Amino acid sequence: MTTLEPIANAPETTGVSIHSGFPNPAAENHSRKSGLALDLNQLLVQHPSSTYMFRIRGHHWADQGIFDNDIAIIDRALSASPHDLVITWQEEAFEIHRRKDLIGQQSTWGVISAIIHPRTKSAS
Amino acid sequence: MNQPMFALIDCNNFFVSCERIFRPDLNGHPVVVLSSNDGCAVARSNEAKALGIPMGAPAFKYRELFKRHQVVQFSANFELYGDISDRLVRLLTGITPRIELYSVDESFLDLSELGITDYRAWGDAIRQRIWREVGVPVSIGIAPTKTLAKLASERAKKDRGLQGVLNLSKLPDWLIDPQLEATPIQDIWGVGWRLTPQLRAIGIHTALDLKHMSRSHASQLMGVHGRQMVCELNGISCLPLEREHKVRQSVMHGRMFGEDTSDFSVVESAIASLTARSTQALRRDGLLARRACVSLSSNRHKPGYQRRDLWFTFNTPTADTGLITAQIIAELDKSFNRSQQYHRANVLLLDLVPQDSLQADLLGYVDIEQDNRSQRRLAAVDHIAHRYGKGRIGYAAEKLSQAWQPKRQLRSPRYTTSWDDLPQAQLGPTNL
Repeated sequence: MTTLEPIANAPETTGVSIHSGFPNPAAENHSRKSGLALDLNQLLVQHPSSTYMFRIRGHHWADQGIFDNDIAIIDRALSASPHDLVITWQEEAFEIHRRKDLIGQQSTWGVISAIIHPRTKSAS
Repeated sequence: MNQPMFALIDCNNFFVSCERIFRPDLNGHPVVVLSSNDGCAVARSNEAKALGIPMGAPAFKYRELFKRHQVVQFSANFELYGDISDRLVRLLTGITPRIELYSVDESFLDLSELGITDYRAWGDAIRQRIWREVGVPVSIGIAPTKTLAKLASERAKKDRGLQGVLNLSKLPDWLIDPQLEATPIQDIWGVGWRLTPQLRAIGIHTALDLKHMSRSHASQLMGVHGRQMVCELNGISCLPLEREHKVRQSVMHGRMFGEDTSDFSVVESAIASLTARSTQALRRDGLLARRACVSLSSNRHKPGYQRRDLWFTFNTPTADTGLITAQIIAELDKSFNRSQQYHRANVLLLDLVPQDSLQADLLGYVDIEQDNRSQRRLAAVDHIAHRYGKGRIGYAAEKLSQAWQPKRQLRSPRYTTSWDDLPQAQLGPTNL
């Protein structure tokens, strides 16, 4: 997992970028659409065609720095190492686990490459 | 030059497969996607096909069957399907820029320059990669002609033993011909409903029969097109990859009203919304329209079906929502028939020209000062729409009535195109 401390410490930047930084891929040629010379997509999205975003639900991972309402960036092109966080489908819902905690053949939906933690209401 | 070689990559039951990305529990279950307006099946999972649900089946007619077999129904979620389609194209473009987007769920690739030695292995690898990375199943056909590649992908989809990939390149005829024999004439690319009975009448029932037709006979019966089909089935490539970026000729948005209406404010509101969406599409592509056509029609399935077209010509090509909406509504107001029950509205913008060419247009009258002002205003509107989501800003008429909006209660969330609709993931038990 990549933790993104600088972003978490800069709520203003987070607020602006999260809302405008991940445009529809069809509008890709407007690279300055976000209004920033530094494009967060470039930093956070290695493989656009296999990258999906999820909203994280649950409060009991706070001691690991993962909070309810955070946004998980999933890259399905990555293969998981034992300590990576992965998303799996469990009966009725998607769940987040460490790869090493999954038993045997359980298939993973994707690997979490980064987590965005909004620090202000406007950035969530 | 290398020998031509093509792959057709075709998504299986595309809309259903898109829904299953975020609902893995629906793998193996019968699923249908219904058109958002009239509730007819526009995509069916294999399980739904096996239940005998035909394409275009109206949901209300199949309600009992759906219930009995627990068929899961979705209203079409075109935001999602468009996004998944974009992802596929991006992935394929990464393999080779020589790609032809044939439809929302089918693309031809030109493989001749890629130096592939084992086409079957290449196809298996691409299929697995798309399944793993994007999350949808595809069928792949590989052959020295586009017609054969398309035929091969159809066979790969239908014959489970092929595991989703059929390679017809560098094979002797005795291995290719059984696949052609298994393909009925109406399933061949280029044989439409018009040619099918003509060919059957002279004893041509399968792709293999057509392959063995003499070229002169084919020319006689079907012209150049027929000759090309016969050549292509024999492995002689006649149809090149069509790569020219098709410049948009027109933009059209249309909708059925939730229920038939003769209320001017409902129609006006719908037209304003459709115009806003059409002009937004124009501006996104840097285009301006010279003409517009608005159509209003009654229900074609009811007696007295009527349709009215109103045409508009703009002195200066424009993509200005306000200007176009105002002209259209003013004209509509003059001629609106309040005793007519309207069912559907369309807005078509056509005669499109690139925005950049405007200032160079010496023949047309161009008020550059006015144009610059309106462009700045529109850029602001688009910026707000982009930043806060479509529908957050619009012209007043758009909001007059929302009654015309179709009922889409079965639509899945816009998982990949709206921050409010992201899929959710529960944190699992901690195990330190």
